Amino acid sequence: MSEVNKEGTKKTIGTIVSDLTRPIKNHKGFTIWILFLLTVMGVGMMAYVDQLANGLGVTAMRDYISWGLYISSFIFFIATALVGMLISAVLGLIGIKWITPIARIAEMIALGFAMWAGLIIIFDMGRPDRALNLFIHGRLQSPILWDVTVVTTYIAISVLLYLLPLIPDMPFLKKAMTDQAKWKQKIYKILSFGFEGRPEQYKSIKKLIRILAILIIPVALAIHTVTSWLFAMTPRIGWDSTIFGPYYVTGAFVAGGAAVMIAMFVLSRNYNLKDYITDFHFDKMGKLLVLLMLVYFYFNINEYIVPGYKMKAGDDHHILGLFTGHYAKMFWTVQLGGMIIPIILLLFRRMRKPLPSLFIGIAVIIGAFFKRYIITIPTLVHPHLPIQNVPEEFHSYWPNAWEWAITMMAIAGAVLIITILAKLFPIMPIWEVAHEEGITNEEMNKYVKES
Amino acid sequence: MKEKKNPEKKSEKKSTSRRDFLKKGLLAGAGTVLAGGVVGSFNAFAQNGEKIKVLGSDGKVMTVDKSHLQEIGLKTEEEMQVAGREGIPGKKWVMVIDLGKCKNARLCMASCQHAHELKPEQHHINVLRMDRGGDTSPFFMPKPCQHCDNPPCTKVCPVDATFKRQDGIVLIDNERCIGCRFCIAACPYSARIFNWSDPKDKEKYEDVEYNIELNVPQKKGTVSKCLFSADRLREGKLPYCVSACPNGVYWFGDANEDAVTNGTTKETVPFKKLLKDNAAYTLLPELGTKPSVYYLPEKDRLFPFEYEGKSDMEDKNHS
Amino acid sequence: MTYLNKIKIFVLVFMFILFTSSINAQWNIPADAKNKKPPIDPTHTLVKTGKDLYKSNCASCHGTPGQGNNIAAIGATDLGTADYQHSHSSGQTFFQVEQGNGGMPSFREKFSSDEKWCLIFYIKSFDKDFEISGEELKEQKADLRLSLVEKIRTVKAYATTKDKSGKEIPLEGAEVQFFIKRMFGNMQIGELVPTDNKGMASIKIPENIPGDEEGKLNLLVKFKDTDTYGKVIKSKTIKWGSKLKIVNITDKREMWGSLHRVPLWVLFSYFGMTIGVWLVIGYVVFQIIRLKKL
Repeated sequence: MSEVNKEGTKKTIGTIVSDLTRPIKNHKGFTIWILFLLTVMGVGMMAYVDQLANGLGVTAMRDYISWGLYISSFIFFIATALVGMLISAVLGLIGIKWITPIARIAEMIALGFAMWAGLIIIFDMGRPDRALNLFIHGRLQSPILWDVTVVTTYIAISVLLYLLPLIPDMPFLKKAMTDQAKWKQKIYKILSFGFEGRPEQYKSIKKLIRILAILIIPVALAIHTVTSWLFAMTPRIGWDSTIFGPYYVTGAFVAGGAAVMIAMFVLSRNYNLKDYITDFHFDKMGKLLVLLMLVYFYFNINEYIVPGYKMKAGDDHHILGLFTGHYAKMFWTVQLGGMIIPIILLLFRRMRKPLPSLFIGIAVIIGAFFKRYIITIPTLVHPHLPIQNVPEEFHSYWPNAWEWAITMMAIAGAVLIITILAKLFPIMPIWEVAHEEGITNEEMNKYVKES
Repeated sequence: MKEKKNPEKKSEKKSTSRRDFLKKGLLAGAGTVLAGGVVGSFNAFAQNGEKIKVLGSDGKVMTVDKSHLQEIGLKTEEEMQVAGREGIPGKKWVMVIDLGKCKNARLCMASCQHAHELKPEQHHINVLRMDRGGDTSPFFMPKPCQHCDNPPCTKVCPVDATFKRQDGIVLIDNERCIGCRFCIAACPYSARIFNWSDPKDKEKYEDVEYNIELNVPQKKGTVSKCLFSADRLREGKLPYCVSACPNGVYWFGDANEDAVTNGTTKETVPFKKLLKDNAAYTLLPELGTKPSVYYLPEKDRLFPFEYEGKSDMEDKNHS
Repeated sequence: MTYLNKIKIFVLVFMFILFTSSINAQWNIPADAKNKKPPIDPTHTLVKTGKDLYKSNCASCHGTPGQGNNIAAIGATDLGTADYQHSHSSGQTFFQVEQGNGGMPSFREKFSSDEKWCLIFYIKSFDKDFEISGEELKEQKADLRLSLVEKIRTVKAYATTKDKSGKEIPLEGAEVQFFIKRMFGNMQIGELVPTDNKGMASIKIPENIPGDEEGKLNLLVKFKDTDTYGKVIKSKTIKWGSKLKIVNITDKREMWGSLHRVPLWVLFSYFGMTIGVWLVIGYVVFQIIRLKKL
């Protein structure tokens, strides 16, 4: 039973290996892309050096709106990183087959964004030179400490969950990449951990993947619930909500799902892997995204209707600010363009084709980014007591060039990690794709040993 | 009101031989001279010890030989950190603010900013123009840190930089704060400020020993907040804002003594009775923060509400 | 004089008339109140007392008389101007201090009648015709002695003075104040008590006044009228306060507490979960390294 191969003819192990390793060898456009990312990061780095020298005062944040784009980007990064857990753990564990070619893509996104989420928090610190205080004087009662712990743990598990399915690919890589640079071959050798395709080794790896897939579910739920607690644990209008945990988690799946959709399109077209990531996969992914967005939509209704119905003092300013006030434009653009319209569109089969999927994915992910902004900033603009006797700039907030530059550096950094991983290793597990094609371990071992 | 000597000095006297006493007398004298600003004369007493810059009780920066600090009644930074974190045993500081008396003179804000080396836009205490809405009339409300007994800010601090001490004061240690601003986000009273860039008079305070009970020198990239003038309380004096008020708005005292003293009239009355007789309340009680600052309702107002020539709130909502 | 200046003066005069008339319209002062005369003649001491009262109660609105630093916007007049002095009799000002009006609070309860007259003497001292006509009261050297009656928690203060021959005699009718020393000031206990014909004033110390850890209170007793009797202050430590139990709130394990006072359930859940997850991660890493041997 092969779902992967619905349209194409049966593939041999030889074609699979050459199809999946070809993009790694092909450097067309790669340098330009890397240079572009490094330029973006360089500009951000300059902004950050200036921020280090002159303090956070170079940003648009001030005493009342004291968290801004950095923190909202941080939630966005954590959210996007969560997809690794959903695709490779949840769907994998319940035995869904079509995720095989995209599981590793999801894992790459998880790694890139989780790592940069940790860095963004450092960009937001007034005294990054004292970051070690977290370990010297860490207070276990603080959600920040929990966040640091779970983000680190999540990165560790994600690394392993990326690495483990990679190990059985190493023999193929070693064989296919003999014409590549020495250091690359060395990496492949080290990362094979002595894997030679023995049945016990396959068995052990499958078992370990299963253990991690189970372990990552509570850790991933924790990472985003704790992130939501950075807000929900404070007595602030708009954050003081009991459903923030699940609200964030479902929102995260939407953001991650859209990221995977974009990556699927870009990688399959760029790497010429249309035979592996087919319309069938886009259709499935589109359906999954609709489901995730519907759940998220449900939490949105709860989050806004409940306070909006009661209009308690304080809540009323906040809700009206979003619905009809200062933030109305952004709020409705995000809610309609990033959620409701994509839901409706993706209900149609034609919209789940690759190209429409790409555009919907982009709309959803931009919406997801600004949704975090909508969650973070308006609350700070409406404190319980009025903002008075301070300069005009303290009353409102819009991120300035420094903040955009540094945030762009983080996004470029995350994409850079994904690019490098996609350049060093195949973006799908060769052995699992081969299994899907009905190729046995013996055949694979035989292929590796042929010279 | 004449009890100004701190406990250290008292205990010192008990256990000194005559010779020591003479020496200390000399040094204390030198300390007084120094506080007056004459630095040169002190050099005669200086040994070849480490020189440090400290703040005198009058707020002036002076350079002192480290070995002499204790003898002139000052503490090293380490000692200040320890004492500052412990607080004063047996005390529970409370403030009562009589809204009927506030006419927005803002001397409290000015003296506070002066004492803590704050910039004009930085407020440890802020006099707000409040409006309860409907047909009620607006009023002025001074708002310091509420020094909550269930403080949302210290709960979330990841590094124990902001903390509550046994006498009820919520302090911040600017030498430990990592600048994550979680406490600012958590405070429902907007009582905290942040040093977004270099503090005021950065050069002047460059190497001055940090005083945790005064937040001076202010440190870039860290949070600062109202401290109930912890440094003054240690000397048995009323907080800066309380003594600066010309209109008798502030009462301050120790709840364990059940007494509060008015900063203007210096009248001392029973604390609980004052609250009871005037139907006192706390700010945002529904949040369960249990503030140490109480408000007396704005009745029997001595002054009409007037701001920038208007008797109304011209900007009811600040959105 | 230029045309413009004429207009200016005209406007000023007009505004002045408008202003004064509006103030007069607000005050409805009965004729007998206007003609009320002080029962005593002004002395330097009384003017000085009035000045102190003025400073702490009136100056924040009315400013220093004659300096023009009053807050006109709220209707507070400069009380030092010749105009004010001419248009207001002592009785009139007395009435206004008693009544209050609009922005001005009533001081009927706050000041005793004597105090009000002192205040008016001070205000009137800015009139060029004002004369110190009274004779200073002679200072009467007095002393206080305290004795405690434990059983009924009562403090007795005996006031004495000396007669012409230098013999100590009881002082009758002197008002004695009792205070408890507190952190930032002295808290008065009970009302003013005048001494009886034995020179004694007594007060029962109420229960529940918080003392130190042993229930000690620092009692201060003095004459109210320090000008007459001198600044006699007698203090005594009494043990009738409630005992202070020092509770260190930071000793408890609280969510808001320090890192050393983390609630146990947080401690155990945090380390339980973290160690548990990292043990599994460690196991997986170990298994990967062992892969070669399989």
